[in-house]
Amino acid sequence: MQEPTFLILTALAAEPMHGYGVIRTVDELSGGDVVLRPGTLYGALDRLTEQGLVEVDREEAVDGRLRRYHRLTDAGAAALAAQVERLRRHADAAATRLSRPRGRTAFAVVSLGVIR
Amino acid sequence: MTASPARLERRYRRLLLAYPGPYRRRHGAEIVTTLLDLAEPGRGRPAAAQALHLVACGLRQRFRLPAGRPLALVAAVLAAVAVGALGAAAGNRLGWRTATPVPSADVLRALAADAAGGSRSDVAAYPWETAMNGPVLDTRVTVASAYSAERVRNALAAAGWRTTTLRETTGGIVVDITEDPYVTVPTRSVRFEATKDGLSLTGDSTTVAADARRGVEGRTDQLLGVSADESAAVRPLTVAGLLLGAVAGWLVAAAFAYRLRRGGRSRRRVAAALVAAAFAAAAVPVFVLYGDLQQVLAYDSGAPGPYIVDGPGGRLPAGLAPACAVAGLLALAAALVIARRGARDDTGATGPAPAASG
Repeated sequence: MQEPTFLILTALAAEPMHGYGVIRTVDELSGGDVVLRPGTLYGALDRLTEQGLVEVDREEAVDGRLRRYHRLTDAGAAALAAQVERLRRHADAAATRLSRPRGRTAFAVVSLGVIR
Repeated sequence: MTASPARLERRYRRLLLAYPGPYRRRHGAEIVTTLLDLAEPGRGRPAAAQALHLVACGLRQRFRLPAGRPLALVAAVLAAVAVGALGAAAGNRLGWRTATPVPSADVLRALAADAAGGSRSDVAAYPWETAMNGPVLDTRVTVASAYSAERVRNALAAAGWRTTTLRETTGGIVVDITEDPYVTVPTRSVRFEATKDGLSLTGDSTTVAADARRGVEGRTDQLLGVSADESAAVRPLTVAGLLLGAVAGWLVAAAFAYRLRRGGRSRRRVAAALVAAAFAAAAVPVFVLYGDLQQVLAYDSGAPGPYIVDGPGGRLPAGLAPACAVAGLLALAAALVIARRGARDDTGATGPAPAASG
């Protein structure tokens, strides 16, 4: 799952949102790192709808303009939860390995010995 | 100049034309709303980078295939291959239009008659095409008198040709194989080549000496042909046609796959079966077209004269490839009608497309 897709699903996880809402929420969630452009957003939404992960929640007309709200489906929530689990495993593994003192693996000792 | 939201909206709508029609009808309105939400107040035109990105996303959407449909991918690849073959053939024809046209049969008959010292009405003309589809016009005439190299040279010069080769040789032809050794009568030949802006001419005149004892009458057979030189555009346009055709085939298949996805299950099945039949029928003409393409790209323009190659298409029964092409097109047309109806039935619904199944 690509980062924009992950963030779009994350944005929709809390409540149904329209396009502009998703863009703003993703901006906040990523601390300004990911700025979704409309072309990217609607390309991803179309694909996610096709895959049954997202569906249309409702439509509203504001000042004669169409606002369409999208929401996560159950399958979408499950896919997001699986991805969260995966990312957590990776993050934990990375944190564990980082907390280990560096330069003291068996391999490093042997190579140091050879060089000296 | 004051910026009006209406004008900005119009500009955004124009940019959305990059997207495929059905996609635009489904998502266009909400995309414009979001774009206007994002626009800085007072802005009259979309930012260049944003406009470019939107158009790029729209074009990309045209190439996309429905998710989770491996058959759509197979169909798109086959369509690219098949329409690419058509595109290559069309590009090749277009390329040859940039070459100098060969003279008309009447003009060449006159030249052949002048060179041979005969009458135009006795000259037969045969048009044909080389292995790379270049036009050639051959003539053949038989006269009673012996050839004259001088007359050939003068006739060519008078018609504006520059003679590059004119070589005379002697030989013989066998007239009786019942005796040992075979009986031959002597012949004299002249072989000539000439050029005229973008055209090449080759000819051969052979005179058989009269031999009353053997019953051989003196005569001269003259073959004279003109071919168009390959112009610089022929091969590039052929390849460009192949690539453009492949892209067009893919785009049509992608649009078709999306249409079909919105139809009912039984309609999808019938349409898919028709498309499969169309591809099966198209296999024969497409095979022939790729044989032709291979010959175009492998053609040796430096060969002594224009030539044809016995291709795979020639070994098929005559009329099979055109018949298959017609059958394929009919199946495809039927599939398109069915897909179109399916899409039309569905346009009333504003909700999400039914989740892909099966």
